[in-house]
Amino acid sequence: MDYKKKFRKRIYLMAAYVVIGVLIVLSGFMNICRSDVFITIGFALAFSGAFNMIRLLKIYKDEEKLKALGIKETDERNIMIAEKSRSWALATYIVMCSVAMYFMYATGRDDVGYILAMNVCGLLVIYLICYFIVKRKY
Amino acid sequence: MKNRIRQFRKMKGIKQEELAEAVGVTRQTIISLENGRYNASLNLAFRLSEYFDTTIEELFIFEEE
Repeated sequence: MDYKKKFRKRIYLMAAYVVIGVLIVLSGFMNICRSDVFITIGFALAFSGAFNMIRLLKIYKDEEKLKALGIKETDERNIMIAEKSRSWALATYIVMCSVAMYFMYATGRDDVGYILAMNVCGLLVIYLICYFIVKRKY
Repeated sequence: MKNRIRQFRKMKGIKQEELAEAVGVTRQTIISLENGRYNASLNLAFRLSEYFDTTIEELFIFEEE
């Protein structure tokens, strides 16, 4: 896909964040769904969406910056680094969760240990599902 | 996998940044390739060999690991 087109989609997504954020805030203030957490999420979504939209629009208007960003984002070494970091992060998280799980069971906090065990199991199941989907694709 | 990217680049008298821009990667990728820390994909290998007007075999030296 053309990078400029892809970038435009990102701007539209940010605009959608702003709209959703404003709707959430309005629904909170109009007592449709009254909750402080809900309103805060709405504000956060609207502000971050607006901020990012302005930032992306500035880049979009500057051809040089857009080209440089395109190269940076599609650079194969950068993609490889991101993929490796993701897989390392997942592996590290599973090991840390497993160690914490044993520690929790050993110290008698079975409830937390159980949650951690379920977490590790869930991640491994998701990994297996993703593995078979990717395997079928290639 | 070894390569002769630095040699070819110097023969052509261009900077790493210019080569990076010509083949659509970052300068860091060219640095990593020249230092042998990173192996180019088949796609990038073709683009590089096309840019230097040579063959992939001339540019990259295959070594059994």
